Amino acid sequence: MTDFLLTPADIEALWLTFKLASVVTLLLLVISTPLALWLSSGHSGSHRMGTHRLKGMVQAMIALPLVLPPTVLGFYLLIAFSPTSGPGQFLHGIGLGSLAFSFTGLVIASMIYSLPFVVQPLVNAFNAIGVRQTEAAATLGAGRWDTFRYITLPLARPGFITAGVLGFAHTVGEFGVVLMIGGNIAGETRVASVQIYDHVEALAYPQAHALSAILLVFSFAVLLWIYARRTGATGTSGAKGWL
Amino acid sequence: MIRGPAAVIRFALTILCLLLPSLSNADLLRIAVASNFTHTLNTLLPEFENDTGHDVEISSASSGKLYAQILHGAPFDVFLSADTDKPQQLAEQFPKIESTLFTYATGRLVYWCPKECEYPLSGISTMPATLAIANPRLAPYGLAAKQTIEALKVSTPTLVTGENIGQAYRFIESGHAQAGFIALSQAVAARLPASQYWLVAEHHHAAIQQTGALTPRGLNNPAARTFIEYLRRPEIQAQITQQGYASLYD
Amino acid sequence: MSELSLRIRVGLEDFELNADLALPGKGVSVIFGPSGSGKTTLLRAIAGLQVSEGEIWFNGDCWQGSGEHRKTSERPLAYVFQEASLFPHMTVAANFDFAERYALHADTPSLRDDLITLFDIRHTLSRKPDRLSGGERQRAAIVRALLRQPDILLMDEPLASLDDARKQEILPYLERLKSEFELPIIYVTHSAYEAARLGDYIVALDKGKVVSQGTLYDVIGDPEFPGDISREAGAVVTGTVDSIDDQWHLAQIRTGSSTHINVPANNLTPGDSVRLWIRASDISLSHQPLTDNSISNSLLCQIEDIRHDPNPALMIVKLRTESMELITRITRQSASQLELEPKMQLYAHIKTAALI
Repeated sequence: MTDFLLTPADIEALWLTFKLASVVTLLLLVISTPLALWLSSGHSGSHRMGTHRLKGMVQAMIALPLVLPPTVLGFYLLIAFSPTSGPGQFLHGIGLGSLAFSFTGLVIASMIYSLPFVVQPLVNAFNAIGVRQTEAAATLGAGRWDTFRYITLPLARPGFITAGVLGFAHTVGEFGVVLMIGGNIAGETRVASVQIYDHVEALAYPQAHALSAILLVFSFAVLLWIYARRTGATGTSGAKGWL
Repeated sequence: MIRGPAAVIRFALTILCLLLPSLSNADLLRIAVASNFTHTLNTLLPEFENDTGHDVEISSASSGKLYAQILHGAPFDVFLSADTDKPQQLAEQFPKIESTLFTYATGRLVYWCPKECEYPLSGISTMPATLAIANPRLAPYGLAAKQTIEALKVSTPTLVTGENIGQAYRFIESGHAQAGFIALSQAVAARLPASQYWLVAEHHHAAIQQTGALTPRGLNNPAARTFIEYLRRPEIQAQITQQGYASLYD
Repeated sequence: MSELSLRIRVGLEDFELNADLALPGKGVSVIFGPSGSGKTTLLRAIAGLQVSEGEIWFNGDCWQGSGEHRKTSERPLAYVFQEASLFPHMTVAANFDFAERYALHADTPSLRDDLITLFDIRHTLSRKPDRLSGGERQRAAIVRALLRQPDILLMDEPLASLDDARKQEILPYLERLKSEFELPIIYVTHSAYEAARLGDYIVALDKGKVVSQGTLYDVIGDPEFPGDISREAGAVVTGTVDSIDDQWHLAQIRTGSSTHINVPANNLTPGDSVRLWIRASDISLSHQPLTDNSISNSLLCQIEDIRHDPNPALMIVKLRTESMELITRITRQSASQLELEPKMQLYAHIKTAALI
């Protein structure tokens, strides 16, 4: 058996997992912010009826990964983005290559999969701020960007932190989607969760234990931190966690 | 709504009657089968059940998972693994089943290229951009594929591994990989046109011996032994061979 | 002369707000009405916080209408909300900094220091809003709004969330606002008292429709007015403390060149300039000056106008004396007995004048 319980392959898998989670979280925060702003806007009289319905649909779509088994998502992604299909060719056309078997593909798939975990806390945070603050800023002459930067962003900071942490942790734990479209390529798509699975399949239980323990400790630490912040927080934070 | 003692008795009798079939004498046989053999197994079962009167339930999963489950007492009687390794490890844990180990099928590897493709195994340099195989670490077919690739000194830009040959198959079928190595039994089951795949010569790789065994539980189930013997019958083996395996009796 | 004119429509849950108004571009225009009458909606529509159909023009500038729709932040206004709405994550000073960034006339010298003094909130500058009292918060919100140097100030029931003592405390600041700044103010309230105290022009809404509008004197005689405003009617009188009578502890206030009103001296000193609120119901009339009476202030006035009060037993009389205009409310019977007619000269007796 191996001398160290963590082989270089395991360490590479952990590093890849970390890399994936970081990239995905960053990108998700960037695209989720305007999305969450749009979803949480809509105070009295500022929207027509149709917009409300559209928002409902969009929110349902975003929440799908919460309900769908990840393997379903992976499966459909595999089919939808096959090189012969429209979306697959589109991806090739814009230079992103194939969705399967690439780190880029994994990033895109993970973004879809972790989207609700980032959008939801942000929506909650923006809702908690309420509309009065942004109205006050507007009446003082602040434009949309200034209002966002000086009022919304600082007030929603706890929500951003929760969204980032949840998105990161969730991507670390991602398995089903990676399994379906990853192709198990070392350094590209062989993330820690798949590595653990393979260890178990190959009956290499000690290695599976080692890697699993690391992920378990990490997840627990993250959750502990989130909950400790929530129950310990006093002060003006208006962002309720989503959990 | 239960009204009165008469109704209670009626209710209890109904439940009892529903339980009766499982108290019958015909034995229930539970088989744990590696996913890649499931399809073939299903074609053999109706005849077995008819002939012997035994009921069969199968659970199909990856060999590794089945091994783990059996190790921890899952109620299977027969274990049909995709490789030799896992039944042997099971025998190490439960020496009593050692004598029941047997090869129930020998797999054949094929190279599958759905679109226009030059057969590379004769040494041509052009290889498809992405080649898919099963994970060599987990699946015997994957290991065989890897051995074949090494034996023929073939290089490919991207080698993609599926968790099992099922996934390797899907990668190729969906176009994500242009070609790859799958099991002959898959090609047969999917009725792939013969022009799309080539049989890999057996000397390029270690034999893919799909091995079965009784589980510790199965040692006490006569139906399990009946089944194993059934599998080894020449006419049954002929059926298995037809589905894409090498014949055991040459 | 500046003016805010609007012709807008807003569909609400229970009714439709429909307003066609031309509000004067100076002084305080009060939008009065019971709760749920649409007055806050109207104010928000003017600000652009509420979507509305129709037109809004201010000083010849089109804010809304015929294809144009200016965002709230582009309208030269400032807004004071019912619950102060200071930014909770900033100190009061930082709130002010924020407002000053968007000052509309940045080239004019900053009034920040003066405003802080005027509204007496210097001690709150380094605190966050949650450490301020309700009254302090509202005053700070008003200062923040003013720091924008708006061309028009919108106030949505700024006193509603305060208790009576705080209201009395802040009203003088609002009146100072009125007198110190040449700033048109639109002031929403359901308090007839506030409307009477502050309103130069009063618009009354009921279920989304304008049911009455005009100066205080115009509306108090209007039976359609949805509130007992004539009971709250009164007049503001300004003057200077001439002298203090130590024996009777009274201060003599000179209004105009020769008219005097006596009020309890309290803490006044000669030379103080003061404002008095004289309620209509605190003035009685007679043809002769009263000597044998507890009311000490008697002024010779001329009747400018007489009109009916919505209450059929009462009449409203507008009086003028020298520099002041007063309103009094008397029974129709008395009016008849005194044979009151416009231009008649008679004595007005002021029972109480409140310092404000």
